[in-house]
Amino acid sequence: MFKVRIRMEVLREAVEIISTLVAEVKLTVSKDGIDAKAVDPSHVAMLILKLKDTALELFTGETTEIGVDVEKIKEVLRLSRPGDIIELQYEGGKNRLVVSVGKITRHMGVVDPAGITDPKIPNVTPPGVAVVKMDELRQGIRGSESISDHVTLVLDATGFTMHSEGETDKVDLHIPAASLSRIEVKDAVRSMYPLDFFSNMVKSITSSEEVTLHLGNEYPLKIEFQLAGDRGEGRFLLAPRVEED
Amino acid sequence: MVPRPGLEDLPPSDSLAVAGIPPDIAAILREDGVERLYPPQAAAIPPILRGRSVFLACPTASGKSLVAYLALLRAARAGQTGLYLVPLRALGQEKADELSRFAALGLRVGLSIGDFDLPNDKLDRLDILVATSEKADGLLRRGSPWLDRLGAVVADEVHLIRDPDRGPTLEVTLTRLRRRRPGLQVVALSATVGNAHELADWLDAECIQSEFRPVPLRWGVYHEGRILFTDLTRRSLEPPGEPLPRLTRTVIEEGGQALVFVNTRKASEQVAQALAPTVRALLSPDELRAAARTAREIVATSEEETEGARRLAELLPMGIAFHNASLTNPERRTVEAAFRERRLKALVATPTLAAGINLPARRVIVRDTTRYEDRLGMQAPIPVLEIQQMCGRAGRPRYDTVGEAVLIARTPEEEERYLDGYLSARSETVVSRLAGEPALRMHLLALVASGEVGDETELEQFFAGTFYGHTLAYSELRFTLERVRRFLEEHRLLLPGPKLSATPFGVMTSELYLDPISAVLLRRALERAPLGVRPFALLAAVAATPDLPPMFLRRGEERTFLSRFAEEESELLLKPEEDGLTADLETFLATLKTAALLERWIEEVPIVEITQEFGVGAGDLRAKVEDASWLLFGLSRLAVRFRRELGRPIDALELRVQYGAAEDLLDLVRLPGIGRVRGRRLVEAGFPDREALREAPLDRVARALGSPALAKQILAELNPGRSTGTRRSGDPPPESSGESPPPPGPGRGRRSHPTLEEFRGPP
Repeated sequence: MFKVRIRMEVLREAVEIISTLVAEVKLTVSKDGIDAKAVDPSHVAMLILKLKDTALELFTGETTEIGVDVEKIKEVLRLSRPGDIIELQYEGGKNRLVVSVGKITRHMGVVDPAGITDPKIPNVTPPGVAVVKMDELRQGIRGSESISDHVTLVLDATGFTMHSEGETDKVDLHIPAASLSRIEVKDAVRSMYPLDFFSNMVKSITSSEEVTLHLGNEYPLKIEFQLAGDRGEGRFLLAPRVEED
Repeated sequence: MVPRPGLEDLPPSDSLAVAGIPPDIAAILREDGVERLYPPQAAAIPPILRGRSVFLACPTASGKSLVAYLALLRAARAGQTGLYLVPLRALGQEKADELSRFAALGLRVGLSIGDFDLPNDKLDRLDILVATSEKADGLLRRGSPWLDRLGAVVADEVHLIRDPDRGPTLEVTLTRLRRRRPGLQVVALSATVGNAHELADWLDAECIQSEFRPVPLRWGVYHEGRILFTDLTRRSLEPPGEPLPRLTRTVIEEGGQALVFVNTRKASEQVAQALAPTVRALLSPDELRAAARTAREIVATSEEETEGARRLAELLPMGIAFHNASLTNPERRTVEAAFRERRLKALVATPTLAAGINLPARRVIVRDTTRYEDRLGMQAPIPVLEIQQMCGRAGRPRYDTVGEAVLIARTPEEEERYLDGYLSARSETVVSRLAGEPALRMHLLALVASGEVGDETELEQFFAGTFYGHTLAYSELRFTLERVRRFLEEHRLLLPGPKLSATPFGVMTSELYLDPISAVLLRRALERAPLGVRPFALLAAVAATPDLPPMFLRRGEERTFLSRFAEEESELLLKPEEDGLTADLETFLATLKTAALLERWIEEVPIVEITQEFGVGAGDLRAKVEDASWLLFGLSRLAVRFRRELGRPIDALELRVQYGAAEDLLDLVRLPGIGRVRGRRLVEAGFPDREALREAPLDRVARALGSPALAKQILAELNPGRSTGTRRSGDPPPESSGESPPPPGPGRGRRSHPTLEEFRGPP
């Protein structure tokens, strides 16, 4: 049992991010905010997301775990306008989530949270760190999209490089160390990632100006970002492609 | 006195050039790491390159395939064609892949092993074909023109002529090919056998025998904590414990792998389970990670869960697996690849593995030397040749300097018996199995139907050319042949009269590759079937033919199927004991079990439930499904002739059996990557057929399938021209009724995508 009111923009941002990985998600709703963890079906990518209590306009009730169909929430968001407040009301007994926006009230069935994979978040501590501007990242991704299915991220003393190579063409985005607002690297690190995951993740982050990338050698990538201003935060993990011989 | 030149002054006879291998072929071999020839190769290659026939008998892994390839290449260069006969489908792919290495020389290599034949125009363009002997027999029956250019044929594992089931086909096929193409070069590859010269004589081939092994093999018997080797050395194993964990642990500690042979499927799983903690304790963190990856690959071989994959997924992370016929082919291939890549340290297998693919290990451990024989209804000794073949898997080139084959003895008497009986025994003699009535029935009809023999004299001439005729008198066959001929005439497959000629029904039977008894029964079933015949009746009819071997009835099942029999009796198209063509009641009930199994399959019952209900493995289910869909194809062909109006329902049933799907799914499962499970999900999501799917929004399809990538692919397939973005590697495996096609061939620098869970702790 709970009732939550939340700004349409905040919910939309969170839902966009979640929907890059999963179609159904388990949310923990409490007075401290909303928490989500998700792992994509192939276990290549994970998400940990938190909306703080300040992201909620109202919370009453008790801490509850519910499973929701992301697409259904999106459908409601499509009916709303910027500035709208969305109300989510959950009645445990009826297993139903009631979502109201403006004059519309939608009753939706919920998903049994027991059926949703609970990701075991691995303890990933990549050695290299770089803080990169979102628009530069997006530009790099656009540059890679026609070249390859993969992108190689390199971090060394000279800066951050995003490299993509196809059969005949290749493209590099290089951001010199001086242009990064933060860089921490001892030995050069390099890993290759599937571009579609990387691109969907980056594109889903809409309100951060910068993200923190944590990188290692043939090691998972960690992307830390903020959402809804400072009222939420999240991080993606993405497994690298590994070259075998 | 003038010193005579020593052998060392001559150029080494093992160099590729001295053997006369053409430079461009030699270059490809060198690229693959072949620098020098092994002694048996050096002996066999010169006559091969001169076009001579060769019978080459030597242990596994001594480089026989290379010799065979050279014969095929020689023929192809001379403007002729070459045929490689494999005993197992699994080997066919391996050989075709290896031969494709020579595609750079402008050669086209093809493979014919599955349910369907290569169309003639495709075949015509091939220089080299890899096929099972059944497939080659099929080409002969259809009089394929491709065979008119045949210059060389390779018979791999030719000692399998002694196999009662498949040996006769190999023998007849070789005989027919040689008759059709006088002067044909035959390269026969064999394990060590007792009568190599006899076989070589039959084939007019040069006989080359060798005991050479690239990795020397030591044979031994384990008893009471030590191995006694046949070279009379001993080795004590520390620390004490049960024989299997001891033998397994010591070889892994020394950096090798263990291959354990046991005599039943159940034992293979139990022993693997029991050894798992021992093996796991020896793995490094890196090795654990690699093993975990294999576990995921097993689960990905099929999008439908199987019992075998479930059990393997528990064992594989511990670096061990089992291998038996209850596994599906993709599951087996995954296990084999993991062992070959040394991601697995130990493998517990049934002897079927020894007969098949090449999967060596440093130490081979043979736990059992007897097994249950159906024919005898009791435990019987495993033939010496098979034990030797298991032992022959010891020693991996490049990884091991010596291989060890160890039999486990429980008593001192057993120890002695093993040392004398198996390890120093003479090799077995290969004898022809052609005199069996089922084999003669099948091949007599085929010979007459394809016009190869037209009367008694020609028949006698033909059999004189077989290995049977080479070693035994034709008169011994005459009686059986006479009976078989009467049978074929009585059932209207052959025309009566002094001349031998086939009826159109006989020709059809031969070309459909059916046992004549099966054809007679299927024809009967068709003639009796009412319009609107139920699927179960048709399934029971194909299950009652000798081409679909019956299943075992477990305790209590006899009652179950007896009541099913009583229930269905009025609708069954074939009854028990029909003039000696169908089985007695007890075996007939077992064929009803097969029909019931297939019925569950086409009702879309999950594989896991079916295999539990019937007490079989997914691999057995798969085998029944393949046989049954092939027989239903035959039934549908016969229907065209005898009951045209039943053609459509039979075709639909054939597809249902192929995919394990209800009739409403038959449209969707035509899509690549869509099998019965994903198909059903699409139907439930509101897309009953391809038409409905064509206009569907991507996200809904993606949600139904649980995979955006597959959804994109399918929509692109349905809407050629509509842009759908790039395909993602690491897509879910394509689904085809529970099994995915073999993984792509080996390639350097293959990429894999580990999951996040594999990364624990700092890099």
